[in-house]
Parts: sequence; C-alpha cells; structure tokens
Amino acid sequence: MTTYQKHCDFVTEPMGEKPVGCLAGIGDVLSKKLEDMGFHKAYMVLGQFLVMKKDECLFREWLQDTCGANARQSQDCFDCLREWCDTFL
Amino acid sequence: MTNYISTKLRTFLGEPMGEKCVAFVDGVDKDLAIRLMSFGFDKAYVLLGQYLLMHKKEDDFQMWLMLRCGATQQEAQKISICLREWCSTFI
Repeated sequence: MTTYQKHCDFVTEPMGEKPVGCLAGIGDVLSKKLEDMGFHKAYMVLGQFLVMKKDECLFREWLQDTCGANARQSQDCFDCLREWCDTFL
Repeated sequence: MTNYISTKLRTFLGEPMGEKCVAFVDGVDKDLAIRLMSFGFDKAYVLLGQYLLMHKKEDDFQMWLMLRCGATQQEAQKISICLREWCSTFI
C-alpha cells in the first residue's frame, strides 16, 4: 500500500481502535517501536499530537526522538493527523 | 451514566469540538478552566489529548484531574464522562 493510499484510508473515517500502524508514515518498524513505548493505538499518537497543540515542529521532533522516524515519515504522520483533525475533531 | 443530561453536556456531545475553549467541557467551571488554562490546557482538544494519552482510562484520568488540576471528584467524573462520550461518537 502506498503512503498516499494509507493517508486516504485513514483520513476518511473515524480512527476508532485502529492500530498505530494505520497512520501514514508509520510502517512495520516504526509501529513496533511505538508499541514498545506504549503507543499501541492510533488514538494514542493523536493524543500526543493534541497535547502538543498540533504544533508541527514539536510533534515531528517527538516522533523522530521516540521511534526514530525520518523527516519524510514524520511529515507523513503529521499531515495524516492534521487532516484527520480538520475533518473529525 | 444517569438519565439526566445537562444542557452543557448535550451541547458538547452534539458536534465536533474544534477550537472550543476547555471551559466548554462538561464539568469544567470557571475556576477549574482558569487553572487548566494556566497549565496549558486552554482548548478542549488539549484536554482530550491528555485523556487519549492516558489510554482513555477513566480512573487514571480522573485522578490526574484531581491531583494535578485541583478538580473535585464530581468535576473529574463529569469531565471524564464528557470526553468518553465524545470519543465514542467522533473518534
């Protein structure tokens, strides 16, 4: 599945109990690292995004520090959550 | 959850929270809102973020509200219920 498809799939419906790996930018490796840190569900990463007041720099830096996401991955994840919030929050 | 739903709760649950101030969350009165804002929880969605970070565990969240933010038990319960119900509809 492409990142674009993953993004579209995520932002077009409520996230419910989707696993963290459903987020655009979060593949198998990052997913495992996030789960090891306690972030099993996409809504938990959303929680982090929200307490950081949806700040792009803060969130992307957190993602990079927490699970080693690169610039592309953190951008994809940020864009995914931002668009989801624009629609559902 | 009791059968009675306050107007504040019904209003909050009826739509996305968007950029609503934290004071719109059911259970948050003026004094608590000021304290929450002083801690950085100025918007309802920021408080929602804390709830989600605590894995939506209501007991833990209520305890945090009481110990960290000075909420009463009743306030903490109302806030927790409000966010739980909002999540069940919109998340």
